[in-house]
Amino acid sequence: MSQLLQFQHVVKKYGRKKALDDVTFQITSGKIIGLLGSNGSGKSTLMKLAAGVTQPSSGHISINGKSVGRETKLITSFMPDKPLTEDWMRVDDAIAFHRDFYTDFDEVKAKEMLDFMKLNARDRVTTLSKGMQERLQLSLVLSRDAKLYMLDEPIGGVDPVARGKILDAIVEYYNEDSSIIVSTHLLNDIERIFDEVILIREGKLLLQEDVESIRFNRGKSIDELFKEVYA
Amino acid sequence: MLKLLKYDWKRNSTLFYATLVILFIAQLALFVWNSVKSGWDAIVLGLSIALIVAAMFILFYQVCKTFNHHMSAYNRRLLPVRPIEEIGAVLLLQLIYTVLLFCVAAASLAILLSSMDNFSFSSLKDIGLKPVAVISSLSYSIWSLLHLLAWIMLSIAIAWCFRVKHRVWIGIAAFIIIQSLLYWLMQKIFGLGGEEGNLGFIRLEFSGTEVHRLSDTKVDWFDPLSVSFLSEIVMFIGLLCVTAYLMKKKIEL
Repeated sequence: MSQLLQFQHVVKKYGRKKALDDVTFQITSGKIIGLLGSNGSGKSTLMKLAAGVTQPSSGHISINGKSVGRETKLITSFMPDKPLTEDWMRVDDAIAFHRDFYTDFDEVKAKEMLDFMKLNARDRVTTLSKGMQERLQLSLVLSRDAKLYMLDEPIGGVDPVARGKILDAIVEYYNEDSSIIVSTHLLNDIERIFDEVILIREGKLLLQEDVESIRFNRGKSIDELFKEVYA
Repeated sequence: MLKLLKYDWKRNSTLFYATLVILFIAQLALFVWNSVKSGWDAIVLGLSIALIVAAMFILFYQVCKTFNHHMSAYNRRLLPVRPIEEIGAVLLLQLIYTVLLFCVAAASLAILLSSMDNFSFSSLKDIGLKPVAVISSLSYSIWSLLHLLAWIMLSIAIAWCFRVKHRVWIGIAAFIIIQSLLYWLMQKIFGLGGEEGNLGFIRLEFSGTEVHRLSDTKVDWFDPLSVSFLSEIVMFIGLLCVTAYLMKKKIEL
């Protein structure tokens, strides 16, 4: 399997504080990867660096062999913890915006996802509940035929029904030739979908391992391992 | 860039149309007032111009706000476009707003002036106000506005480079300091500024608070050898390049 995302000795500082400290790892195509860590461990920073909206203080990041920049934005689909829409938009405006700027945006898939998520195309985004907004964000991000998807806390702060719907959508709609990184600290519902997990704490990479290997070699579920590490 | 402009336009369309409609209605009200009352020409004309300036200010502020919004908006920062295209779209938006506003302002002023007792359009010719001179003056005003917008965009970009609470003051300080330094530098190198000012087709001379018109048909800034205009172009390009660099390398979400 080809190497998709590579972090080489990446350090990210905000003032004196190190958000990421000498992080090195790589991921290959065709996997769902859980990026796990407690609040403030550096999960969002790691994703923002890979998405190209933040610059590393030192080190190098590449996606599909190219340094992060305009070209990698074409093959990376990032769902941040902030809106991907603007207040004036309706749901169909948000779809049109993504269609206009991303050549890999699949409008048919987007419409399918809207139906699946029970979203109305004429609704204003400001009138959507938090759960519905998360669903819209996910529809926008997964409707692209990207090589790398990154979802920052996609189930944070939504009710269990919306959570189930979001997880089903991830499994149903993501492109199997690509990879998807999902950051979370809520493991109960989500660990079933992971192939691999990356654990970070205080900006340092603690572990990168296959889920099966953790279960067989360590005899633990991901949730148990998480509680052990972050206790 | 045009796609970015399309979404900038959509984002601001309600305020833009509202501003133009209110301006037109207010100008119409002034026209009706001036038609039924006599002796109010000067006040009505002053009010009319004040309304146009206010509309211009509202739209200019909105464009600055749009650029400021783009600095922190994920949907914009994640797009696979060059920062210079983002900047270009905002400049183009300002250009379109200004041209359309000038059109509405010209139409409403023409209607208003036609209702005035002591005014005739032929008198404009008598004082040597030719169409070329008017167009060059308006073009220069638009250029100046775009130049000012480039300065403000740079200041906004500088402010966004800092992750502190009161970064807006850093932007304001940067605006004042860099402008003062460049003005001082231009004066040293080219000897510009001071007693003379250039307003498109009108060259002005200041003495105290009084302004004397020196020549009213000379279009200095069309002349490619004009040092002042060339230096403005170089500075404008420089401002855009620095702003684009900051957006690409320094501004973080």
